[in-house]
Amino acid sequence: MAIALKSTELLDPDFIRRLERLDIVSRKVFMGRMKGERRSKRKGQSVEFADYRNYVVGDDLRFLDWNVYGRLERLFIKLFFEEEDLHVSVLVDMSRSMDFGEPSKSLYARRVAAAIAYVGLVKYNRVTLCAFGDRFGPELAGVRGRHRTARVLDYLANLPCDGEGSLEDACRQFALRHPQRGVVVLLSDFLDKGGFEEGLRYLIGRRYDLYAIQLLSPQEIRPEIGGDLRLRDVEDGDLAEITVNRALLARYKRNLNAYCSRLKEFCTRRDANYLFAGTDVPFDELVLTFLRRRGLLR
Amino acid sequence: MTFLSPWHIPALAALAAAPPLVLLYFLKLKRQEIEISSTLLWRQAVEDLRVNSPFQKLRNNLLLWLQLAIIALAALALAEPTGTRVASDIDNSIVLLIDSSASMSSVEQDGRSRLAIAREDALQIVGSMTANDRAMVIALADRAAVRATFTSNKETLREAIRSITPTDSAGSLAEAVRLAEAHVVPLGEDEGATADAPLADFLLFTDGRLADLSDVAIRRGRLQVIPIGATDDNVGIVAIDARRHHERPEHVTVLGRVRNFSSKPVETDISLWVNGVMEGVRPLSMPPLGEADQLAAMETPWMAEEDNEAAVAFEFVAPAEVEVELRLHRQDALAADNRAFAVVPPPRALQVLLVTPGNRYLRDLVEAMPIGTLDVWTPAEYEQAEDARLVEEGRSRYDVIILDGHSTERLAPGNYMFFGAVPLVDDVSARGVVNDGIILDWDETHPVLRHVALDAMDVLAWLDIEASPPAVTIIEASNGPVLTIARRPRHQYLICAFGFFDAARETLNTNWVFDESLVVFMLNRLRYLTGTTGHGHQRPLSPGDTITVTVPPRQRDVHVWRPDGRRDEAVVHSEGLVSYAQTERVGIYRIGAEGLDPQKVAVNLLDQRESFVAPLAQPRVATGEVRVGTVAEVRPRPLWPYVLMAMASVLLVEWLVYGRRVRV
Repeated sequence: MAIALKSTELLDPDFIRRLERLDIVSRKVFMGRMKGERRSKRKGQSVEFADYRNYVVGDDLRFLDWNVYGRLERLFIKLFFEEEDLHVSVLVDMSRSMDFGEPSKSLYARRVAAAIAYVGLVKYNRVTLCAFGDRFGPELAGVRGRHRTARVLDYLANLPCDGEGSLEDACRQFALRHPQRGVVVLLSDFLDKGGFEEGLRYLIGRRYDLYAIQLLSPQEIRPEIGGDLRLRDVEDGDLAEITVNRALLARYKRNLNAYCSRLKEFCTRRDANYLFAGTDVPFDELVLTFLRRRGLLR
Repeated sequence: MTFLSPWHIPALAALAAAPPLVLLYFLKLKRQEIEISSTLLWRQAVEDLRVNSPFQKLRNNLLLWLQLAIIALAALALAEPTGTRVASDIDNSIVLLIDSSASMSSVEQDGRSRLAIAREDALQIVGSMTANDRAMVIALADRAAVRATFTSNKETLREAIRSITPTDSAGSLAEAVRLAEAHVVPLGEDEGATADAPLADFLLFTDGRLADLSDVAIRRGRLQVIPIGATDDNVGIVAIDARRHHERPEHVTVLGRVRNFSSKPVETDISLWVNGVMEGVRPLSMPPLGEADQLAAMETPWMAEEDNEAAVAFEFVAPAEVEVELRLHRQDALAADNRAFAVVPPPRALQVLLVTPGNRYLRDLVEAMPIGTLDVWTPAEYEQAEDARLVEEGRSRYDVIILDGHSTERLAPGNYMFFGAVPLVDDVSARGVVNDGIILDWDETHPVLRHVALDAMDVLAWLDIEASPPAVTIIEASNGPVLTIARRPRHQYLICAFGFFDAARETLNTNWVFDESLVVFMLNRLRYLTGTTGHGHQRPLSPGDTITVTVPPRQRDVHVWRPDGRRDEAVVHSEGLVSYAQTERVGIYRIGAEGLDPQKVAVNLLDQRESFVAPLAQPRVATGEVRVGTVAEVRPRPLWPYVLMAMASVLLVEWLVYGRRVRV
């Protein structure tokens, strides 16, 4: 179980200042509930012109384009993009396997989640944070505004790291509870013996703008073990007796690469984003460089 | 258990390494336990390696164990395991000495003859030989014969062993040992120089009844005796004598002596057969020779009281030549001594010529002998007589010519007796006269001196005779022989160095003339020279002796009809002399040619040592006690065939197990 952190350990003030400049970008335009700082697909009352259409009875006469009527003597209604808020959801895998590695994957995941949530709050997006471990939850849903930052950080700092964690179950629960579309960032190691495909299908099926970020510790990417070992799975207690030799290590790395490649291919084929990150990569570099390069932040 | 293969040490070392190797698989590995985030990828990696690897973890599998057992048994069989082997520092050279004398023809209780058992044991020894061993085969009876020289070829050795046939001869070891040592000692090596080191194992297959066993010295080998036989049940004819009556020559008397050599009292019958027709039967009853353990310890049967003997006498009338056989009606171990043969020639009076200057004592003595006609000549008459009076058909007309004080070179083929004179031949000479010499020794066992007491005999002077071999000295004095037998082809000389009278002193030369033993001595001499013991009687031969007869000169195609029905060609030497030496079986041998009446010669065992079939428990040789052991003790019994059989059985089980597993 992860030790509770102080909220400042997740995001230090200096880093927060650097996040101020960022915004969350969705490759897809979603319909929001409230007017926000985001251009919606709905044509509405913002100042940004979108298109014209023929006047029909009942239209608001304030949006008639009188200049066009003067030249063409036909009535056209000016259409404007309406600015709405964006749903940003961050799913954090807090199963026991995430409490592994140096630095810990759970800490790394929570810091990434905190950074994305902060950017979302600052930009008046509706931010939802979900953790899943032994069961789905706890959840911090629909928070907006900068003043919610402390709550969000406090939530993340106190997330327990426990249970086997079923990706499929968590994704299914999330998809059921959050029908509105938006940006969904899934932070996990994806080392689920039940497979990752079913869970991701739930999210992709909801047409979320999905970012799957796979976090692995250096100990998992380049294991430095040797001899005759009995490996115990921290989640289900499964034992595997191995004799580590060069051939086995090579085979493990090849399997890991193949696993990650399969995950990436699965996501890419379904218009989802995949990002691999080792926890030895500095956290700020991931957020400020890799996520921006991927287009989640700008 | 020992191993014959030179590769048995690495093979067994590999075998010894197998159990610890397998045990290693039983050891549970102590593994360090560590926690990881997920075993998902590790399990997959291990599984991949297992699939792609040519090796996998040993699993407990009955088939595997059976196959391991088969391999182990095959390795064991390749090492050629054998039974216990007596430690020997002589590895490679084995001399198989197989006794084929008469006693080895004894039939044991299982129906096999001792020779057959010996052959089987010898074949076992050959079977246990390794590639580095070599062996030779010598068959020994009265003579030794090399059947196979040193070889590693087992088939040659087996053939040689199988070719050994039984004989009725007496057994003698000395010649066989000499032969063996001649083969064992490398060429060019001084026999005496390294006489301490044994060079070969001499394996003697015998019942121990060898005449010269205790006299044999073995210098270049280690003698081991494989005792053959257990039974002591034998009764044998030890003497036969058939003679015509002195006064009624058509009457024949047959005397026989039978002895019980067993440890039990015996009652049996003995019958007389004349020309194949039974003439009479006598019952016999004899006490045992001794207890069984006593018999096994006896080296010779003469150690016991001779009350276990029985004598029989038969009389019958036979005016012509007859074949006589004594037959014991008893099934015992040795058959060769249950029959004894004799040939009684037709009545014929001996013709004797006495050449003497006038020795009345001698004349009276000869006249008293059982002879037909006696001619008495002076030496001058002898020298002047025409050849026709002395020679008939190329040989002397007289059976015996007695020359008293007359040395001569007129010696037609025949038998001669000299008193105070010598035959003037190359290898006999008289160098002078010996006065007041001392008689030192005489051979009491020689037929000429049988029942003759010489203790009280005094002789004043005798000729100093020099006789080179093969002359045999019978009475020896301080300066040389006094009584000598010299033989040349078709000639036989019995030379007594002294005469009855001393011509120079005009007195008697010996007091022997007053002794009755002189009469016996003269009778013995006549018998010996004429080959008879009386009217129409032959001197018997033993198996292995050479038969010598004369046929008319220039006679060719002389055959020998043996008692076993076989016919052999006989070689005719110069002057019509025929000799035949293959007399290994008892019975009557007939020698003759087309248009010529065969001459019959009886060959009898009559050897108490051979009839005494109780095996000797602890044989001794001149160089000490010998090692006695069975074949299994002396040479290992090969066990690898049994290992192979075990391997085949395990293979069968493995096949059955496999068959049950693959059945759906």
